[in-house]
Amino acid sequence: MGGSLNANHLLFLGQGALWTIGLSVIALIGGGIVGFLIALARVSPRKAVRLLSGAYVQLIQGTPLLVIMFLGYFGLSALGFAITPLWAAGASLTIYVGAYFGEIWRGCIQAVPRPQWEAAEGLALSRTQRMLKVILPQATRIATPPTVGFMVQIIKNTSLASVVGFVELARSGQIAPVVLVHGVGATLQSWDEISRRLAKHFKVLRADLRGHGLSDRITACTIDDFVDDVLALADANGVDRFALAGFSLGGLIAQRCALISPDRLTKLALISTVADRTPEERKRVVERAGLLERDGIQAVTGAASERWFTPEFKAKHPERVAQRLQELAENDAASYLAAYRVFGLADEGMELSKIQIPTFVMTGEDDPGSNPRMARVIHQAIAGSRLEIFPGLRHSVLMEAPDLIADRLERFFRS
Amino acid sequence: MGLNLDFSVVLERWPLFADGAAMTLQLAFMAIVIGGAIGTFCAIGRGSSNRFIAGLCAGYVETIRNTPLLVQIFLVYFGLASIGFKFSAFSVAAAALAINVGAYTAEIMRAGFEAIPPGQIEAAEGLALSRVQIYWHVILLPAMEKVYPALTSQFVLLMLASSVTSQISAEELTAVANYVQSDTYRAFETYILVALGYIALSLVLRAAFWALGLVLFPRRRRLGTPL
Repeated sequence: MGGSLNANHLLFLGQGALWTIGLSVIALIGGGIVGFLIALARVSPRKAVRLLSGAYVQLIQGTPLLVIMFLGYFGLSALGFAITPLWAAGASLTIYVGAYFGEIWRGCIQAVPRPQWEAAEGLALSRTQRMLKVILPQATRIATPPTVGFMVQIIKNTSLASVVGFVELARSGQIAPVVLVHGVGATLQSWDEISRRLAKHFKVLRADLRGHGLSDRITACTIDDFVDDVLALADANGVDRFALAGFSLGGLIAQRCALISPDRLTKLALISTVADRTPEERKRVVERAGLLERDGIQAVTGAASERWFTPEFKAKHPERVAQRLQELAENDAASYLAAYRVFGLADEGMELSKIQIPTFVMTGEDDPGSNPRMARVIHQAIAGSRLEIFPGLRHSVLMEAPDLIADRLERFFRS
Repeated sequence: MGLNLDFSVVLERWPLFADGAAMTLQLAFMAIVIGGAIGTFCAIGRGSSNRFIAGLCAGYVETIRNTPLLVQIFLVYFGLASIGFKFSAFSVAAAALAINVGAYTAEIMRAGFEAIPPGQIEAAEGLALSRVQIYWHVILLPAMEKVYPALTSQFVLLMLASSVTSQISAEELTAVANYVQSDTYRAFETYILVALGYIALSLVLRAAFWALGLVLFPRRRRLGTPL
């Protein structure tokens, strides 16, 4: 066994006691307010209100507090609130305590002798005046012993918050690392802002794909080569299973990875990516590849500026737009062409319905190349996937809305 | 971002939930039987003229009622392990729950005992009934009849409290829920279903106690007063 119980342990226990008191106060105040409203509802002249509050009380009293706490913790996360275990426990306790206080105080209100109600009515007091001046003061005196008794219960029940807190701790340790894959002609730096935010909660891995950034130049490659790059990145960092987020070409690579190595992936996020191109779209992309081969990257930077950025962003951050387009132009021509060819052709024959990993599909509403139609096709093909279309955004969602993307990814990877 | 509920994945695993519910009922049954006995003897002991026994029972009741069940369960679980006794999770859970419900039962039964008019006991002594006969026929059974609703409530609460034993790996309903949600990633749906399961179990248990009351207390049945 380790060291015996010393002053540090006692200090730690003391801190825990303070948290117990704090949580008890939250439950008392929150539950007190809810309980008061429930008690009033239970003696309402309207039958529907009585039945509804009665149903609430029966539901809560018939469920173990531990299950209510888990429901509160997981449910609030599912609804999209990033909540600490303390506040989840506080919310659950509020709901629990409210039901019990409601019943206790209802009993106390009803224990005030009937003649008091009738006398107040006889003196032509309104319902509110009757409650405030006659009934509630007397009910409060009757309510003091059972309320104090239940307060003891509240303090004891806060011990269950430790279970939720432990679940949170255990889950943080279990959350898989995240791998981010950039798009054509970009580098790992396109994820800078998002990566900074995600790194607070996850281990984040990103690399320049072959032919991009500081990686080796290429003349030809296939989608499977890119998938190999992603898996090699994971292997080099000793990561077995990971969550994969891909942007544009990265999204295609992620789809292919989910099909050929599904056992390596825990979750899949497909951002502004392509699928199921129509013959018209295919023709245009093949034409663009031809243009690239003939005239080099300069031929497509103009169109890129239009397709990638919203006018507002171009007006507000012209220097960032210019920098990105400069980056694009400085790509090695042969490598860019090879990657672009993959981007243009790899969506053909992608058997999306065979993907069985929890997936989140997102794209900008006004993205012309990776449009909402494609996102919907992916969403419908992958069972249980989530879909979000961002209003007003074009292709460069990573640059224009990094906080939004980071928030969605963080919640998705933690859920 | 809206809710995206999918119950089918969780409903597929209903045999697991059924097993968990059965385990919950078994735990509750063991704890009720043993804890009920402990509580009754404790309530009798508290009225004893021997100051040591009365003090011991009072101490037991106050300690258990003023500490959280989770802490009690961990004490029994780790305490037994450190002494060297290795019991199954079920046995430890049942023992801890029995100790817990024993204290609450003792208080309820004590209230029942105090509600017996002293005249009854004097009359029984006057009829030359033995001490055991007095305890059984004049004190215990009438007291239980008076506090039967309170006892029923306490036992149903015990069944709900058994969910805490999931923390020492007893394979009851909440433990099954924890496992299923970690496997299906559908936590919200799982816990909603389990909450409904517990409500159903509460109703079943209440009905069972009501029926038992009809059998145990014919006077109540004949008089027709509601339980």
